[in-house]
Amino acid sequence: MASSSSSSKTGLKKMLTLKSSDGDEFELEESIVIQCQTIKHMVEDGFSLIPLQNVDTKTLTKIIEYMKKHAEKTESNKEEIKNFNKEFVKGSFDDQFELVSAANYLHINGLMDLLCQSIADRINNKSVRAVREIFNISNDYTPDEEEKVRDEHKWAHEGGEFDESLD
Amino acid sequence: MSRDAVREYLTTHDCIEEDLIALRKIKLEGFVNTKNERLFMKLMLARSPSLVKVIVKPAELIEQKSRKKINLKKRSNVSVRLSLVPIQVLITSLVRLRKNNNYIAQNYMNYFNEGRGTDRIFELPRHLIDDILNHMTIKEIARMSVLSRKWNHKWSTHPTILLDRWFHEEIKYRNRSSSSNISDFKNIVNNILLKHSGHIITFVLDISGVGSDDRDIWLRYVSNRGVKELKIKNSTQSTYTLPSFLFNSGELSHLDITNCAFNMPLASTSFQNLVKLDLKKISFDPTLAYTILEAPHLLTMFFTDCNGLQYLNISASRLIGLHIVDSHYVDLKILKAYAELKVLTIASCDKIQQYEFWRRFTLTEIICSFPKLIGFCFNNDLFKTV
Repeated sequence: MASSSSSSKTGLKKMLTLKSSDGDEFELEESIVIQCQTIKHMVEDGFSLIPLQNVDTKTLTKIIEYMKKHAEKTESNKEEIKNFNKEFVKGSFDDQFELVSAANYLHINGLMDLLCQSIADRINNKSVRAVREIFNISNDYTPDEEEKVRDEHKWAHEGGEFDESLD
Repeated sequence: MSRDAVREYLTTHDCIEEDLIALRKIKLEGFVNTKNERLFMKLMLARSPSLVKVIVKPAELIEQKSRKKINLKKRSNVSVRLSLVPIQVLITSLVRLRKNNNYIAQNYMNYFNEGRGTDRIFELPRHLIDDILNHMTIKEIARMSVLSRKWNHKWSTHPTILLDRWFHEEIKYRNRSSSSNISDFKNIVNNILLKHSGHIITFVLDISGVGSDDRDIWLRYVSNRGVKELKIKNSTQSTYTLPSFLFNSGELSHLDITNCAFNMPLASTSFQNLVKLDLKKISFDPTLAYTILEAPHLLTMFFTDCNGLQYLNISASRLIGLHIVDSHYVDLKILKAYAELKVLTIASCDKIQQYEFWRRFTLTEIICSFPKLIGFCFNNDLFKTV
């Protein structure tokens, strides 16, 4: 992609360039990018090439997809945005973790909320074993301790089947 | 260390009080997989953080003296995970052990993975972890305490406790499928509160089906823990009178009450830090007319489906938002106290006209008496009245 240039290339629309940690550059309209509080502040400080050292190309592509869609948000396409969000969070847990960290770094509140909700929903009702696997949690209890903790919260472990799947 | 030594060790040390910080190598020969041996291994794995090398030689292997070292890397299940271990570990015949004692092998892997295998969630910034947990029910968060010590700690210090309608439903659902009864609910809440060891910032309680003594104790408990955001909802028909200590809570910043009775015995009562007050389905009693509620930092008030607002004296010199919806007997003289008001809503209220005071003002006059007003919403009824 073209390197940075603050001069307006497409008439009135002011363009910005985002650079991923892999070195790829993405040119976008300023109006789309300022959904990120972090970038907004940099734009206000006069930057037009914005290096994002904590965001790789794969994640940045997803985030741009999100910002583009949400820049189109109006009163009439609420349903469309809702469906978009639903599709957007369908990736793997790994992707979601990358995305939520990046959204936090870029300070896109809407996306952070969306991902936190989605991660919470997906852990909901997962079995303890599955959650350990998904989050890479080492069980540092001894079996006796674990049994004791389980016993203390017996009420939380009863009342239904838990989901063993890892996605 | 021979088998006898293990036995001797265990009889003299029932448990190890302190970590064996310096211990780096353990060699265990003649392992026959007794309970004591397993216990010993457990203790070692749990209590020796500097451990780099463990050699376990089962008894029969020593006798055979053949195929002493089994290369774990070539074994399916175990090898995958052990090959991640950065420390060089020589384990003889762990695969064989694993068959007999799944726990030791499991714990081995956990132990050595601990340093590098990081918990994904705890890699996230704290506020994101809290955000994720805030989207989960309290039952789910409690269940997660069994994941690891860190999660147990997270659970017992999570600043938000939501005992809302959902929680009631979950407990009810649970009771349906097990033999426990309703008094369990009380035990569960007691258990949650007693386990909690940090600040409780947000406490939400639906008091349906809870004895009044219990709820007063719980509210007292969270008050003492410095609760800042308190939401109490009564979804039953019966009356619940809020305990009076709530009205002198200096910590509260948000108070949200639905369908409870107020009883403020003091001539003046104060909410020093209250920012938002949200009252729903409340009938204010004429006796309240003698009480002044001081809320110097209050910014917004909501009254929904309330009765007897004319008896309420809330001194809030900084109030910028006042919303009165679906309420009866609203005396607009209460507005006069709030000169800083920026947003005012009075909608679907009736019986306003009954007050003489009200008749003396036109709508324009009312609006003009709030120089800072930037938004207002009056419904049609009010226009008819004025």
